Amino acid sequence: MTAEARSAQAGYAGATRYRWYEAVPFIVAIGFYFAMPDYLSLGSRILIFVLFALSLDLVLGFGGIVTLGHSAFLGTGAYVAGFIGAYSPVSDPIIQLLGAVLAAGLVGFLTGCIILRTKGLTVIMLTLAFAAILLELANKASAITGGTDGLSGIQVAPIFGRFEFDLYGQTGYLYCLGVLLVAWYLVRRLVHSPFGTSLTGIRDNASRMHAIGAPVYWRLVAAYSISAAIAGAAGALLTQINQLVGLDVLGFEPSGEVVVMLILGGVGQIYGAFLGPAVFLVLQDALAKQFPEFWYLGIGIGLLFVVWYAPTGLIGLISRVARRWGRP
Amino acid sequence: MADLLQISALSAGYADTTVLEDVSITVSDGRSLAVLGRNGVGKTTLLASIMGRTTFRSGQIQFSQTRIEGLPTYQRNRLGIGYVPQTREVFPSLTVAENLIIAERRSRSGSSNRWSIDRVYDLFPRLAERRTNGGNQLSGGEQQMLSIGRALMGNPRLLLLDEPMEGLAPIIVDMLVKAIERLKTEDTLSIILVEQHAKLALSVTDDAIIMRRGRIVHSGGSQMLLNAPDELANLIVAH
Repeated sequence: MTAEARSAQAGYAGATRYRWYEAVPFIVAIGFYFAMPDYLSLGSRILIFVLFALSLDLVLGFGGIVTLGHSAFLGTGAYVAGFIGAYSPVSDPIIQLLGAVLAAGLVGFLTGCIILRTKGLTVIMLTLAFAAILLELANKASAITGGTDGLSGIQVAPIFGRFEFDLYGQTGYLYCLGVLLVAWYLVRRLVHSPFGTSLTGIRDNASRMHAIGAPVYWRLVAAYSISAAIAGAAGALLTQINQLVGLDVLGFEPSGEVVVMLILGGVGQIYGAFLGPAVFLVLQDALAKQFPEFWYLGIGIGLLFVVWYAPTGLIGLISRVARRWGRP
Repeated sequence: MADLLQISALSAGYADTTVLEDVSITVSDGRSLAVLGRNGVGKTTLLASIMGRTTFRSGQIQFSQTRIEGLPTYQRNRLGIGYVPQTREVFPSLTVAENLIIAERRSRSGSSNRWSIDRVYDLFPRLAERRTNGGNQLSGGEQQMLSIGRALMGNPRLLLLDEPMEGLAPIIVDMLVKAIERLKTEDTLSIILVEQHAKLALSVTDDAIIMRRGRIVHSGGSQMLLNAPDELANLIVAH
């Protein structure tokens, strides 16, 4: 291939080059570790929700699948990691994590096969329904899930047999950051692959993708399953950090909040999934201290402004400002 | 010469409405067919039915010796049918180059891999200049070129063109006509061209059918109709 033809593919082939500003979220995360040692539990929560939002971005931002039931996979991951830690002799965190990823991916595949046969509002209703079914299952099966009391007694051994989860959450924070780094690399590769481009094509115009020979349904099922698996990883991290699983991981709140976080940060741009949860959770933390009863009002007003003035999210706003300054 | 596409007694429509009734056409390898008729006689529906985008009722569609009326759209494309819809439908979020690459489909045998992004750029140099532009930053003519180029990237044996000249400036129409003629001579591509502008369509095709109310009312050589404008007008305008 000539250089000419190569540059012609500047779309996804060219975009796979790493740019310096893509390291910013990770530099900030490492800086946070040293600068704010007292806030590492908040930090871990942010990293987990970034991972969760990243999984949502894959289906919502790139596949165009609107879901309000993504907590089904967060919850599946959380409970499966919890079951392994509580009921089996396996206490290795990496194995628990992989088990959660596999289980959530499988649930994503099975429900995706049903949900993705439909379109529009029906998709949203079905995602809500599946999350509600799982929540009720977990509630009724209190003998193994602990029901409303939560699942406790989860054994989590030191990572690689060396790094123990400490009281200050230092190990947990770095562990979450490591998992996020791996997931970010995978999602980024996927998005810039022909598969990712075909997802964008499906979002733009699904029937056109059919007509150029793409099995749209199976592409969407694949994206949905991968997204579910990543959400499952986020759930496993929640379990391992807290060593407790509550029913709320399967509730509507995480599903709704992660959508709000992603829209706040910017949909379909990968880094929106980093910025959104960080801003949301820091705001939530700060506002909840100042106005314990009205903190959601602040989030709501913030979201209104973003939707109104920055329809591509905060990350879109930043790149617009950066362009005006004549930088990338 | 082998029959590439053979439609016999096809009835099809949308949901409960039947649009096409008892339609039979044959397109041989390397031949081109103009589909003429007024608005709403089922020309677009005919192309959409070949692609599997309508509700099939009865009849048979055979493409290179394979029955395809029951296949999903993407498999029909993979068998070698390229489709350029009237609405062009370029992907707005993708660049020109991405719009093309996304449709690239290489056959395993390698024998029919005639198309590459460079060859599309050679056919439409305008696209090469706009390669990094987004799909939403193109003029109507450029979108049409991109839509045709994208269909070619799948190495089709049959290309369905739905009113490609509609609403375009005369100079762009000239360009497209030249491109279609090049496709016919340089490639063994078969083409079905739906067009409002009858003379234009007849001048670039071998055969023609005229449709009225979902049925074929005339079928014959393009040149013959071109030489008999009065008869052509009579056939198209229903009484």
